[in-house]
Amino acid sequence: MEHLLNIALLTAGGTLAGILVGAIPGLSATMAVAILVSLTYGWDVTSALAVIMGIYQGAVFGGSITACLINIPGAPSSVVTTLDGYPLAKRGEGGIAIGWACTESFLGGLVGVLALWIGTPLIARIAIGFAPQDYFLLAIFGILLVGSFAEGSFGKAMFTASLGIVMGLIGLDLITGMPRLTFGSDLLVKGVDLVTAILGLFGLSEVLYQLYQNSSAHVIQKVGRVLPPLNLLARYLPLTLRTSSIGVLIGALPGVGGPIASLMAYDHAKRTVKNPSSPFGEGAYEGVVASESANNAAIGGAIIPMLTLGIPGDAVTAVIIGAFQIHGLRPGPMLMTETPELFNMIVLSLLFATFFFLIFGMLLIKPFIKLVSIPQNILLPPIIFITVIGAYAINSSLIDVAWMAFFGIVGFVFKLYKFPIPPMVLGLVLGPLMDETFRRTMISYRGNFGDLLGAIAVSPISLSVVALMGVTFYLMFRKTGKAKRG
Amino acid sequence: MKAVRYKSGEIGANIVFLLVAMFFLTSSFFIDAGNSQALSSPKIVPILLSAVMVVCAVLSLIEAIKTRQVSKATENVFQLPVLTYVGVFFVYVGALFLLPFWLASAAFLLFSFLYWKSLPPVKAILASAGVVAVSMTLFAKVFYIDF
Amino acid sequence: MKKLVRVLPALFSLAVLMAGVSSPVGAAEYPERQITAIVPFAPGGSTDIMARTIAPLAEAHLKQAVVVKNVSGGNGSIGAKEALDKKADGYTILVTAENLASYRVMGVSQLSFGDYDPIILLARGVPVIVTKPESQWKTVNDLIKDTTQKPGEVKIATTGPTGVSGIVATILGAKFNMVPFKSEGEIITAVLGGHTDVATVGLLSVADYIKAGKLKVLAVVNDRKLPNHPDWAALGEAMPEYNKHLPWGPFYGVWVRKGMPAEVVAKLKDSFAKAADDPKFKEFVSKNEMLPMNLMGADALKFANDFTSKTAWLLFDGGAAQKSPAEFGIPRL
Repeated sequence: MEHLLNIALLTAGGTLAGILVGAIPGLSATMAVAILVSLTYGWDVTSALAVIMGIYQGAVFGGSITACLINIPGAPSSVVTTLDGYPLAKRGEGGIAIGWACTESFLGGLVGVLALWIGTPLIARIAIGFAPQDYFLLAIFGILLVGSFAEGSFGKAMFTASLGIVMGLIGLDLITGMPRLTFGSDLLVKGVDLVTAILGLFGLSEVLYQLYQNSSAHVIQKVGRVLPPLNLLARYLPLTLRTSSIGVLIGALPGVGGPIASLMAYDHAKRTVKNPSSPFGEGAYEGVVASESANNAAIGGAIIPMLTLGIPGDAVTAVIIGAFQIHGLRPGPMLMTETPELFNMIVLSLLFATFFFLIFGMLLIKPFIKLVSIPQNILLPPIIFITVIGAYAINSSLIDVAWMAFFGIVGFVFKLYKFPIPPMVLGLVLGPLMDETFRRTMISYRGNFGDLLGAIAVSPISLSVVALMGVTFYLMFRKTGKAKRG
Repeated sequence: MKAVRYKSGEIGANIVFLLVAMFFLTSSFFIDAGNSQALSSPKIVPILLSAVMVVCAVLSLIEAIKTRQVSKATENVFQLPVLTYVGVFFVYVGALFLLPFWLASAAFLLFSFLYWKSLPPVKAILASAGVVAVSMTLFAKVFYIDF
Repeated sequence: MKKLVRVLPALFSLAVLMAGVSSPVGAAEYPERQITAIVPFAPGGSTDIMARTIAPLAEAHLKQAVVVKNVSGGNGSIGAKEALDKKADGYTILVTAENLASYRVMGVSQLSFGDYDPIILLARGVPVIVTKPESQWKTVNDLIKDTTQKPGEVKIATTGPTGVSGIVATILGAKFNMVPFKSEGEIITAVLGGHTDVATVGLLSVADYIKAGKLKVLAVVNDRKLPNHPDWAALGEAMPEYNKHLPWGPFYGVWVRKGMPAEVVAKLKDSFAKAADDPKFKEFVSKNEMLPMNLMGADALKFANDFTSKTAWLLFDGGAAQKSPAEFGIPRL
């Protein structure tokens, strides 16, 4: 009993820290967990995991706070939340946007924990069957989806997406082992750091753009009520369950986590919700519902392959695998049989964390909003400073600060001329995946398309992915066709 | 007048984007492919995607030339104060390499507060010193960041 | 503005005060503050775990904290460069793996083991050749025979040409269809999921799968059998023609940049040798299926140089490296 109380307290602390870390742009869950892993080296493994699980859940929710209030996703998995969360805040419903984010993150988190608890053996069997070509199809799917949700024209979105992909390929090429597009520079061998790029593209560029627009209005407008009405909560429950399931499934795919899960869920909501509270992208509650339930549900999903196969579901679980190994445990097929209590502990900590961030989130919204309701010209310079610190913190490197400044200017110019930025960030993530899986497929089938098509035709997984893509694009084109005729 | 300037700015920006796309396209052809096969070569995805970039940049340029309307939000592109401030920000990033982190940051924050007339001088000094002290202590103690 | 003029000197004196506090005072015996151990790979990797195991043990003898800092990227070259760029004062050390052997021929960077002095080479890992239990191959000889009869038909999963599995595949001969993956975890799924036929992986990563009966070992890539697993065939015994390349595998060591004061190097050598002798470390090595090395001084240097020769020429002869090792004066063994 005392042990349980201990776990609960540690999880609570982790969750609170996670919300704050998630809310500060540039401090991502990945980074916080990575630091925690080394700090808790001397602890016993269950205490360390309790804090880490708290941080993980808290940070993914925390990212939505700044996504709604200042249009800067605090964490990559909240990129999609900005699409509707920020318009809501602009029309004075910032409080309710976070209220939705909090309750939906809670519901999504619960679904994720449930899925983790009952679905572990099941998902393991599905994930193992994914061949390189299936990953490639998924990457293409993601990149084409970018065009459908970005603001601005399809051409501009594809430009920034392609730029992101090509920049994501800078660095050492995995397949030849040789540098690519590095122009002989040692600095570029490492490639473009995703967190630095996000800080510049979303943090700095937004601040500059706000200054440029020179509006005397505050970054944060009226807050309004926080608690979402219960009847709406009930009405959105079916959508929540669908998007949470998407979150779990996407999260469980190796390497794809919250950002893609929320993107897929958002797309699903956009297609299935006939009469949103406002049009999507202009402050639809449904947009926040989909994105926030999915990204927290993805946590439970991401832990499944980590525990059963030792394969990280996303960047954070990759770091958590490190925590296991530091404590002499190796996630894999033997973990569940050797230390079943550890699995129960993880499920329990995640469950605690879900309740804690609901409580903290609801209580902290008001103080937090007060904190960011400071006039714009006082608030913005410190935000610039925080993005600088954030960029520096990743590797204690001033070169990264220079990179962040570079991406900030790129983002600022893109914003001026209505080139959407989220596709570029997704391109940075999906580009290497797409390149790698395409070439892996080609090597695997020695360039023989006949064999490749044969393999796709007999694999139920490939067929499902193809069917998923087909249905999505059929629905998308039918919609745009209708829009053009109408 | 403003509209004309905005338009030439937009066309100029699109030309820059096109040049960037063409730069990546040319560079992609020079990637060292080693002994890899045509379809699994490290060149293939960069070439394809840079080509997409070139096409998209051309489309966007045509669109920019054709469009007459200028949106209100982007009328005042050549705002001198913001451009100056961006310049000062770069000086700050450069100064980080030469001065201690806290000194350069505090100076930048102080300049910002005075430049945007956010606070009276005394408050500005206190605020910039406070922000730097609090954030750096927090990061150094809690996150073990070595400044 | 007048107020500003009045306050600025005060701020300045505060600044001077703060700068004064942080500057070092006097000289004492090394080490007088914490030592940073750069690990040029991400947290959780085998090099990282090795560093985090040995660091606290060395701390006890150095009487100062040894803090592990992960500087990953560029296949380990970024962190190795950082260790080289720091002052030669003994407060930055490098804990790294075998990768420094391949940077130059692969055009990754100009760094090599020659830029550093070895403190100690701690342990080496043993790669194993694994396949699914129901595979048609019973021994490694069957597998090699098949690849000669049907060149390019057998798919082997690697972590890229310079990774451990890529080089082992090169040792085995170029008749495989080498399919590169990102990590050893991905390689294992590729074999379990039937996307490739065989894989060469560090034993540590697959030990659990072998125990669980999900993978079977065709051979360990070593000149002789492993003491812990006498039932697994050794490549060098089954096929003696490979012996000239063996043993080959990942190895982990502690290095410092050249030009350190002799007493600093001596203190580090002494502390890390004691740490490696600690029963805790020995148990860690054995539990993680590695073989202890404990090479220092000239022995360590010879091992690293021979290793560089083997690796560089394997990469060049296999066609992965574009630059000849001869360009860098790397002799063929």
